[in-house]
Amino acid sequence: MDYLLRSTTKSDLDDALIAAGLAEERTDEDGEVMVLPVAGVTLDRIGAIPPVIDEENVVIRAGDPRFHANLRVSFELTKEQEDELPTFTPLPGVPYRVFI
Amino acid sequence: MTNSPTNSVPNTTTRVNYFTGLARRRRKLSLIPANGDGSTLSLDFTTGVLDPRLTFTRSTNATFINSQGLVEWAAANLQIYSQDQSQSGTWVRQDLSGVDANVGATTDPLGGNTASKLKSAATLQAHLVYSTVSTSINVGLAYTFSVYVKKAELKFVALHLASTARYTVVFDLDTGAMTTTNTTGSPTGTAYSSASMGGGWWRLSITMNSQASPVYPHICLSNSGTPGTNASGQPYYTGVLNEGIYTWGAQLNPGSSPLAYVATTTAQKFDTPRFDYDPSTLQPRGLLIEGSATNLARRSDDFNTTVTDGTQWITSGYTAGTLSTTLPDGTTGNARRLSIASGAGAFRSSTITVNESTAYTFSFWARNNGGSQARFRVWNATAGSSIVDYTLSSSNYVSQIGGANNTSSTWVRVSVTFTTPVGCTSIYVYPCSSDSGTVDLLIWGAQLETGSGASSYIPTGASTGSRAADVCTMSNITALNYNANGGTLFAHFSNNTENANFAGSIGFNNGANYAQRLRWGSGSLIGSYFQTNGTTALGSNLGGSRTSFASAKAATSYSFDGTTTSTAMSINGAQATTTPTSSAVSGVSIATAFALNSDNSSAATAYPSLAVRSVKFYPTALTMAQMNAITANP
Repeated sequence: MDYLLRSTTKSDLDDALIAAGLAEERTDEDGEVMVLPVAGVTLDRIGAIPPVIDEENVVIRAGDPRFHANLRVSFELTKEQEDELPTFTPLPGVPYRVFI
Repeated sequence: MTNSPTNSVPNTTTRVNYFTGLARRRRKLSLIPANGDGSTLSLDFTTGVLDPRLTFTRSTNATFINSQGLVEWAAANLQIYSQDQSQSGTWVRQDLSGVDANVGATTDPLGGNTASKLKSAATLQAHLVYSTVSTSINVGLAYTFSVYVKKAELKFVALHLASTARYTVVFDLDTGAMTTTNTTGSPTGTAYSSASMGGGWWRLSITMNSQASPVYPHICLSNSGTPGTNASGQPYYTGVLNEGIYTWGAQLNPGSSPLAYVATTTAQKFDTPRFDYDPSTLQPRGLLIEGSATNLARRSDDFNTTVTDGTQWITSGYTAGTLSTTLPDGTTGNARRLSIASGAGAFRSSTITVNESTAYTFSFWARNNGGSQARFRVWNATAGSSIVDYTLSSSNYVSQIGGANNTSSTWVRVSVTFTTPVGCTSIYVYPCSSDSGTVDLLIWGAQLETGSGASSYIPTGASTGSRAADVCTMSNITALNYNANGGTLFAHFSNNTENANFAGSIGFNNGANYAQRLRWGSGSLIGSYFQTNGTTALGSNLGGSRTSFASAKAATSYSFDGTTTSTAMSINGAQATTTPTSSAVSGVSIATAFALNSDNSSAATAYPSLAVRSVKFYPTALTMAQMNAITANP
């Protein structure tokens, strides 16, 4: 199952994923703390969506400065988990990025 | 043979004792320990078969270079409940009296009883099932829908793909022949195929480029080879109650041909391991183990598109034509041909948003069609200045594609790595740009990704595309005799990308922490790392360098003498540049699993792209001379 996520900041997104039990904080060998997805979860952090600009530099489609991510889970989420996720509507007809 | 735990006979010669007449065995002199080569794990990934003790996962589609040197999608199935068309939540019915599961009246293509039967209702309608596939669809790419079908009361079936446009093909189930096709809208990239699978079963397929997401695969009953149709182009007739066909093994996969069938139930499946080949020598390179990556270049092999949505590639100066030829993926299609006799020309991407001060690699396939030059270029669209200038001699890649004026060259993947300047947030990438001289060039398959080096090709359409990381694990290593007193890990590999950190790639862990691993660092660095008591690093990291992107061998060992633990490393037949270390700690953590690209403290983007030829583990610390012997001749 795929989810398109959008939050104000990367930190907000990480908080939501942790609250949903889909990511957790881990410390790497250099002592740096990172938020990484748990097993069965694939997370693609996108960030801001850039505008689409034509060859005359005219903006065809506006960008979105909020933080975006694509989420793929290999198991069924509970309603409580889904409620924690910053999903949004309407979904774009052609997303900026997809999992291939 | 891929499964070869090597408790095998030692390397010996046999001589006969002239007095007793009995053969006696004499060991060859060797630096390698007795008992075969002494290893308890020996994985050979060049055979194209995954050792059954390994579990492989990847959560997205991916491509590789096959044994013919062609770009190929790994087998995948985006269609859930592939063998059970009675799942009405997935396969929506229209004017069917029912769908029987596990029918006993016929065996399925595997000899079992898992086939379904679609049965018609007695109505004047289209009689069909369809599903909705919205994930892993990149608008503009080709998708192929295939189904195993066998006649029952009806001997015709239609496969139908719907996106914005629609494509229908009717097949005769006695002969497998196409009897008619139908299109509505303006579908592109259409194709069909049929193959006899024995027992009356046919594997039928249709292909179409997606114009939107979702894509809707349909299986339609038909009472005729040339049926009447509804507005959607589907067979439309008065059905006879319960007349139908048998179905099994539905699959929707990316690409323009049906891939090896992958059975699904509740979820799409992508996790087919990829065994990569050298496109020039066609020699096996081993198992592809890659970190996640994103192709930021949209419409990566759709250079001829007529869309004007801002994602299209832009030509100026050059004559932008097409040439029908065999493409790098083995299909016949129109390659983008760029040509100019003299003067200036450019062919570039739409605007691509990037991060400043970041390394990127731009890659694409090119073939000379008689030009005297071929030059790439990267442009800082933020500042209006060159990042990789096309006038540089190093930007002219014509020598890589057969040389000047060559008209019979083969496709070659060209790549250039660059770092964005401070303040740069958008760029253009140019497969070709020139201001004088002759250009006549074919191009295909552009990719822009972060990092140094080109990973496997990620086809894109109107959206940028992301490939997830490969993970390969062995969860039961009891038979390997992993112990605290000594062990040596060996790997033979080549890497396609180089990342700037030391993410774990090949090694042993205890579920929470690494015990011992080989890890790839910045540039050509490769290191080894050990932990004891969970998180305590054991001594200094060992490491050294090898030639970037070249085949390499590395081995790393640990030993515990009751007081101190020593570690050492060898790369390509010589001791690593850092010296062996020892610490007053009691051995490494006892590992419980083996893994490639599984590191609980690194993001999937951190892993490099590796082609792993072989891996071995010896439950003893080999000497430096022994490690140098096994890592020689990479």
